[in-house]
Amino acid sequence: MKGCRETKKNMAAFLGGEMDPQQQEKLETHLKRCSSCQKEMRAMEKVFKSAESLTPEIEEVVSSVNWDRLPAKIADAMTKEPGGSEWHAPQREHRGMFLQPWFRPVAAALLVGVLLGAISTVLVLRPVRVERASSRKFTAPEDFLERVEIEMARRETIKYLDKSQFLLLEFIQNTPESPSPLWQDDFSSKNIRSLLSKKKYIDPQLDKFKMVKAKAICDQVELLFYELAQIRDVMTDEEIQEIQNYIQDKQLLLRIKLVKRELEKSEI
Amino acid sequence: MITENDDVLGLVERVKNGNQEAFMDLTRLYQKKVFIVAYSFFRNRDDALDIVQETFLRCYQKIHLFKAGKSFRNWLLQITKNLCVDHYRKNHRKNHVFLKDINIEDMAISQLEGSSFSESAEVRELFARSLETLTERQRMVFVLKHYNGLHYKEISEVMRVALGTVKSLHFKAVQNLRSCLSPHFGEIE
Repeated sequence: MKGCRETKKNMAAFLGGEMDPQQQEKLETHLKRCSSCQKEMRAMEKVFKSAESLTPEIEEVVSSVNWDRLPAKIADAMTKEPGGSEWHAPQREHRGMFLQPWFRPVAAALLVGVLLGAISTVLVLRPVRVERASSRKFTAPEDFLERVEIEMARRETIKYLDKSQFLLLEFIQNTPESPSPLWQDDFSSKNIRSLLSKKKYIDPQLDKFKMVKAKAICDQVELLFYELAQIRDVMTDEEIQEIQNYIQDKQLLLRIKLVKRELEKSEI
Repeated sequence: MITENDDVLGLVERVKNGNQEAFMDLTRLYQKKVFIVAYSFFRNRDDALDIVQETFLRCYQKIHLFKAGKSFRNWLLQITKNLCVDHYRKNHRKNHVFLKDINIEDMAISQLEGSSFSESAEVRELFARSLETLTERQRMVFVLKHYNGLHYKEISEVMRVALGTVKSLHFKAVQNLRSCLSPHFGEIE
C-alpha cells in the first residue's frame, strides 16, 4: 500500500513521541487503513515495552550508590592525580599561535603556496629532455592486454550484429505494396558494404578468441549480405520474397538476438 | 542545595576559577544522569562508576572549552558518550555479542501475557542481550532516548551528528532489537 515505507520509517519516532502533529496525523490515518503497518506497529510497541524491562534494574542500581559521598570522592581522587596534591584551578590549555584555530586556514594556504611554488620551479627549471615517442615503451601485464583485446572483440561483434539485425529487419518488412524507404536509396547498399568490410576486421578476432557461435552467425549474415550486394539493383519481388523466407527459415534475427544477449552478458 | 533550575552557568564560571565547592555542586547535579547513561550502555555498575569519575575529571580539565549559550548537560553527556565509546572499544568490543550468537532456544520464555511481559526477568535478560548486539552508535542513541529521556535534537547535540542520523540510528536500533526479540513475540501472541 502507498505510504507503507514512509510509515514504517517513522514508527520509532512516532512511538518515541518525536513527530510533529501534522506528520503524526498522516501516520495515524495510514495506520487505520493498513493492516500490514498495524502489525508492524504492534511488533515495534513490544520492543518499546520490553525496553522498559530494564528500567527497574537501572533504578535499583542507581539507588544502591551513595550519591552524597560521590562528589567528595571524585574531588579527592582529582587531588591524587599526578601533580594534584592540592586543589587548584583548572589549567587553561596553552596553545601557541600555530595551534590557534584561526591560524589553521592561514597555515593551509601558506603550505599550498609553498608547494605550488616548488612544483612550478621544478617544472620551469628542469632540463628539457627530448624523447622520441617511439623510444618509450608501454608495458602492461600480458593477461590485462588479452582481456582488453577480448573486450574489444566482444564490443565490435555486438556492434556488427546490431547493425545487421537492423538491416535485416528492414528487409523483412519490405513488401511490394509498401516498399521500405530504406531500400529505395543508396543508404542500405552503403551499410551493406560497410558491414562487409567490418566483418573482415572482426574475423581474425573471432577466430583468435574462439567465439564460435558469434563467428557462425556472423558468417551466415556475411554470406547473405554478399548476395544482396550483388543482386540488389535488379531484385524482383520473387527474389525479395525468397530472401525474406531464407531469413525467416534460418531464424537469423532470433539467433542474432540470442548471440548478442550472450555477448552482452559476458562483459569483462 | 543546588537544583537544575539554578544558574548552572554561574557554577561553571566558579569552577573555571577553581572553586572546589562549585565543582562538587555541579557533580551533585549531574552525577546520576551521567551514571544512567554509562550504566544503561554497559549494564555494569563498576564500569559506570568509573565513567562517572572520569567524566567529571575530564569536565574539570576541559571546562574552559565549554561555551556559554550551549547546554552544559549536553556538553557533559558528550564527554560521557566519548568515554563510554573509548571504554567499550578497549574492554568490551572483543566480547561483542552478535545476533547470530544469541541462542534464542536457550532463553525460552514462559507464556506471559500483558503487563507481566515487561516485568519478567527472562525478558529483561533477553532484552539486555539483544541490546548488546547493536552497534555502538545505535546502542548509544537507544539508551539516551529510552533510559535518559533525551529527545532526538538533544541526542544529536550529545553525539554531534545530524538530526536525521539520530532518527535513522534509532529506527535501525529498534528494527534490530525487533529481529532479536521477534521469536518471543511470536510465542506470546
